[in-house]
Amino acid sequence: MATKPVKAEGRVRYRRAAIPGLAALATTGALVVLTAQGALGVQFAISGMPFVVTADHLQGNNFQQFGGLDNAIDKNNPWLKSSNGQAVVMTSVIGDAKITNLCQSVNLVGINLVIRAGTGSKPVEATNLVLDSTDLSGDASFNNIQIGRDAGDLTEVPSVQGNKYTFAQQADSVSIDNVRQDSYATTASTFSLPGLSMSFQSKGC
Amino acid sequence: MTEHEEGAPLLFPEPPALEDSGGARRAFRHWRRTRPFWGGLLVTLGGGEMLLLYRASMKVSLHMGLYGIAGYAVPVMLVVLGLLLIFDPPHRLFYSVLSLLFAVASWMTSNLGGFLLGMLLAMTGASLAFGWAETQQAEAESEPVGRPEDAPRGQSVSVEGT
Repeated sequence: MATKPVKAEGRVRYRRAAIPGLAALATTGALVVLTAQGALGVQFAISGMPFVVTADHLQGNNFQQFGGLDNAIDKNNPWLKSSNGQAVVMTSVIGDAKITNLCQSVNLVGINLVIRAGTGSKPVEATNLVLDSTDLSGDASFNNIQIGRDAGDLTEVPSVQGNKYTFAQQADSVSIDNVRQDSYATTASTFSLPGLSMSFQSKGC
Repeated sequence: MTEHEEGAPLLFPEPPALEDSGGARRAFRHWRRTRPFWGGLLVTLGGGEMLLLYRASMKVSLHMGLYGIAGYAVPVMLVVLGLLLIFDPPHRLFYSVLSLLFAVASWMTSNLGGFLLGMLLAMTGASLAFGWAETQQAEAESEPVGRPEDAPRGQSVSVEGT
């Protein structure tokens, strides 16, 4: 008597499990298609692992940039061990951006997850794009740039501010060709990714 | 006797007292089989994978307002729902449907559902949990035990008829 089950055991009925499973798969398919058409905006925020973003052309309105410090979740972050879990970054904020031929790759222990979008006629569009990068290169031109403005008093994207009394610059618009940047964090309110493709490759962007 | 003590918390009905590791394994297997264990585990893992990819620095994310919060909230909800599926099996239908909805939402809020991987894990888990049901025989065999207050209402522990 003591060894008899006190509660009913159960198991998975696969035909019953297939109902939500198929519904979920269909929904996922629809989401992927909508995203790839650029009809649906998605949201990004990745960090901890350094990743690379490249693009042929970036056109942005409301640009601001300032320096800062990114903290990993703790000091033992393997990517940032030498610097006590911190990274000096420059934060670039773009109110709304159009990006052609976007390529983003993260190195996941030996293999690269590569995301491409905006390769066709429609560019990738992002709003409130915030990029914490350690290295940014490209051929840039700015419109109405203010260099040396206080980072705590930026007006182009007022919701994102740096530390006051530190250096910052802002511009009404920015245009960068052959963008390449090494980043630790990127966030965006919305990201539309027409022509989305995700793949694992041995080589990054 | 290894039945529940009176007033024992529902969330941790196990384990009974054990003499050897074989008994422990058997007890764990029984505990596992009395709940949608693998479904709940997959949902939790899916949410965990998304969180792992989504640890953007809070300072920046907080500036993003509600959108940024959603990126954390959806995977956290998946982790919680997965644990609830394991520790509160009577409400598994509610939890599994909710898990499914959050898994779908994660595509938009959390890095394309943790780059699809976490999303698929959570969806598989939610489906498994949805399909999980107590088997008839075990129900018939089992003693009319459980908490004392259950006894007057009959011995059925099952929520649904099939």
